Amino acid sequence: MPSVAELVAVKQKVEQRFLSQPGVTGIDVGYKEVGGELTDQIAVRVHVARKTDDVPSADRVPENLDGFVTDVVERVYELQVASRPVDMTVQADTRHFSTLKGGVSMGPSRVIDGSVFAGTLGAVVVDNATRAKAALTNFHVAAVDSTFQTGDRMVQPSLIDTGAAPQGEFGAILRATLSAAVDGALISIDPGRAASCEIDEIGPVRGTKKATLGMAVRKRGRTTGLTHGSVDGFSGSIQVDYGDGLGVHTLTNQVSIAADTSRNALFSDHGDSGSVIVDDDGFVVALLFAGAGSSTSANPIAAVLSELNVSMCVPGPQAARGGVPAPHEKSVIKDVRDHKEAVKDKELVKELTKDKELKEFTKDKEIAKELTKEKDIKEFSKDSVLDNKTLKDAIDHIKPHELPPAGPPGPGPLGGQTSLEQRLGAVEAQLARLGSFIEPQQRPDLRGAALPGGPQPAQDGTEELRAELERQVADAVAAKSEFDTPMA
Amino acid sequence: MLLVLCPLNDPHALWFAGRARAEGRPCTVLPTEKLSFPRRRSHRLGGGESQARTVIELTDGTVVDGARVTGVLNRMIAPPADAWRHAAETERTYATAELHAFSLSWLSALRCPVRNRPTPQCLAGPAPDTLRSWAAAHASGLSCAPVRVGTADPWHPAAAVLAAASRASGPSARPVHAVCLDGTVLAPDVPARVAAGVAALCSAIGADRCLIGIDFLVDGEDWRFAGTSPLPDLRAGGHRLYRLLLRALGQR
Repeated sequence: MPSVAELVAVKQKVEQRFLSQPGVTGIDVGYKEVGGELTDQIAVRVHVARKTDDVPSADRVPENLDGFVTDVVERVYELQVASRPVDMTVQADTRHFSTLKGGVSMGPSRVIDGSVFAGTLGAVVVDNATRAKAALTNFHVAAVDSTFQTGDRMVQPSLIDTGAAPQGEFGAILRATLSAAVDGALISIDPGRAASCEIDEIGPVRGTKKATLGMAVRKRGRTTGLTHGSVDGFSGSIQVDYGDGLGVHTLTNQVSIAADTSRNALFSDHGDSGSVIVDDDGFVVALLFAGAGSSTSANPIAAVLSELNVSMCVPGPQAARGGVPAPHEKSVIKDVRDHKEAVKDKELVKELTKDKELKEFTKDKEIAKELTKEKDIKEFSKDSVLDNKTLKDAIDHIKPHELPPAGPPGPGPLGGQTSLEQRLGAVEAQLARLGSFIEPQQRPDLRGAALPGGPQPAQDGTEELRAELERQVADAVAAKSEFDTPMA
Repeated sequence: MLLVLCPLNDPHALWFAGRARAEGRPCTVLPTEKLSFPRRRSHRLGGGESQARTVIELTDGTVVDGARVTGVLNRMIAPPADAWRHAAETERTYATAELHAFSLSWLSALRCPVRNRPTPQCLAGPAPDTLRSWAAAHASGLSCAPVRVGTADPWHPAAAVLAAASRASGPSARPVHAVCLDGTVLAPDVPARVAAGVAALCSAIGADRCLIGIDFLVDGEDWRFAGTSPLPDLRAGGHRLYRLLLRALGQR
């Protein structure tokens, strides 16, 4: 079996020859695809815009290169940035965060050629030059094109996602690079603006690692949210069109990610540019910037950190609010204060997490919570749903985290459909500023009857009715599926 | 026929329907999930004396004819679009919008009593922006704590109103979720001025012929407004609410 180093050497030897051919979009070393499925065989992979037999024999990719297996895969790489004319809105992640963190929508404050742009704030990093916290994203998300200037302001969420300038601005471009290996930008964080060393829906960053073939990874991006995949190629040289003014760039030594299609059809889409790719243990391995269908391309994180002269922000007592002192600058007093703050935050989170009453005060969640407690829905799902995908979806629909795609529009008591964790995060941030908020004894207890003397809420009597209704729903789904199935 | 529209996971609606059935009343519970998979929907607007005629034929043969429904308890917060969950996003969005419009039109046009009729903001009834509710409550004479909401604040306005009420209330304040039916508050020991304020609030937000919940933090004589909901806790209202709601829905 050939070593990976041997394969990389062969790839580098033929790289320029293939990349100069029309229709070739990249080349890397990765798992060979057979019938659309990845195999365990590692090959030199040539990426083409379209597979065709209409290629001169001299230009064809041979089955073997110096005795090593080859593969041809169809991939046309596109930058994963979302842009829209200013009069259109296709919103994806409209959450506004007072405490910045990775995995959330961001974009430039300025309108560029009549369009506004959206990408992802990948992670909070530490500027090695100043020890200040800063935000990491792509060059093409923050700078967009060659007309950018250092100091261009950024907004969270992006202008597409209800962000507004100047109210939603959080910082400005400090450094931006579009090099042979990195598409990155560093954004300052305004004084007084809090930033957290964690990634939305993923959690705290633990550090960085090198991506390796087969490594399971995930990312949280503005458009597709939390998605899962695995590293299926590396040492990639890929060609990406950066548009007017910048043209086609070839980025080398890139990491390729294949979507875990059992969990998500795509690993990334337009608007996810700038997301950091993280392994199962919370280590960042790459910076997402382009995609081709279910395949995603990313800069190795080591190259990104090196070119931008930053370090990954890792939570801990040393991570002070608004900046991280260099080791030689850090005082003992500051250490103590940081520790107290960390302990205080932890205690608050702990209190909030264990406090059922706060959870219950959000009535929509309360109902959903009651539902998940009841056994009959689980049993119903188990008994009736396994072989009926559509029915399973109907049952999934009532889970609290999967509310319908278009609920009641507009704000109001039912308008907040973010997860409990996100709400708790918001509460935590507010608590950190206010010091104290709602004492446990002040929180409403909606579990009991408001009218004394009246009957207490009873579970009995409704279970049977609901079981009957669930059966009716199951029958309706099955009947409708049969009704809609074309006759053979 | 009494019709109860709700998602499967609405224990309050099921509680109400269960009681009605236990009394031998003809009561059909139509979960949103079941309504998502009908055999046929027919919704005709205009023409003749009836301004609208809606017939929904379900796959089990049940026919929901709007003309034969005598009262509707509506707690449907989302359009019945489960069947489109796996469609392409653009098609799903379009179908959901159409079904939202259908639900809005159907429930608005029913001639029988409905609690609640849908609003453009929410299919389940009045759900104005919380700050608008707060302003209406303040104008109605209810005690309202000052609320601060800014672009730098992460709160949903509903949480901000609650936070403000909590901050302004003393540590001994107790929460009260008051069910309000057609402008009348159904909670014990409600001071007259609060009852009058609730009636004015309901009128101001278009809920004077609706079933809503209003949250208060009660500290002594001070009932401090903390938010509204079009989906009140019916079970908390007990038998009294059940009887009053039946009557409001035109049932004897």
